[in-house]
Amino acid sequence: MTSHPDFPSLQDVYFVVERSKLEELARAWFDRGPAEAVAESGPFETIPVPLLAGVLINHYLAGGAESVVSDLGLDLERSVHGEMIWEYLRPLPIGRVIRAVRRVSEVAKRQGRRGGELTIVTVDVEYRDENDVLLVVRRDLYIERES
Amino acid sequence: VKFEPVRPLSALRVGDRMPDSRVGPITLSDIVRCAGATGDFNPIHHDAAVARGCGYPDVFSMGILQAGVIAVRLGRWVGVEPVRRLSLRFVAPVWVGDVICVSGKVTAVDAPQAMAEIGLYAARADGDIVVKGHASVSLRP
Repeated sequence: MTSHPDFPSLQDVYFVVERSKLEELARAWFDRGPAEAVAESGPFETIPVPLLAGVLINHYLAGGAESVVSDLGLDLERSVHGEMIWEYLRPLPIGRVIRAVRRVSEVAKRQGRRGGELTIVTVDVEYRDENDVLLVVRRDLYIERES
Repeated sequence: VKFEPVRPLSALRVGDRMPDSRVGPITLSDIVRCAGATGDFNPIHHDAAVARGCGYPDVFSMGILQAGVIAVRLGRWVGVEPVRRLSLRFVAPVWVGDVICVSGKVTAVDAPQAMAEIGLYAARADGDIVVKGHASVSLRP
């Protein structure tokens, strides 16, 4: 993937979908955890990985999720996460290293409804397995209000 | 979440509704739990002084909390593997004390392509929408 020329390239992230993190996500999303799923339907490695489990890359970023915004040069206090779009080609595997390749794909400006200019930065993430097979594509839109 | 999954998926028709569900009232602990689970420790979501300093009346949940609630329920209804695309747009904050009501409805079925389109919403108890979403789901067995 080629990054937007006005933004620094973002580092690839290597991460693993772990059982303990799936338990945490389940609790955070008011769902049953993997332990219950395993009891119902079989080995841990075969239970469905949640659709948004790709957020686990945040744990492998030195500054967590908030560093995504600051790495883009956006002001954390004036920025919000506006939208996320996920495309699923293959499930994220449990317990194997996944590489997340990130880039800034688009930067747009528009007028906000309450006045002031908004900067909208689009970040694309490709999740690939150890054989470089594309698993999931994610797009995030970050919106910064004018100061 | 106790959902009866749709079986078979090919039985989905326009107008079919995902079972409604509610979570909350959302507490600060729920937000902090989500921060820990998702690695999002932007203080605007758990430190009221920071939130007010940024012009908000109070802390509010990170979008991934309500996004995850929607996605989990969608996965329970149609399964995870059939979902080909999922978009979620955060249109309003979720505050501490809000109840999140999640709903979804089949908006289109393309029988030749064996695909269904599902509109997804999360709203506060007063009806104000906080997340608008859309999913494309394969109906192939």
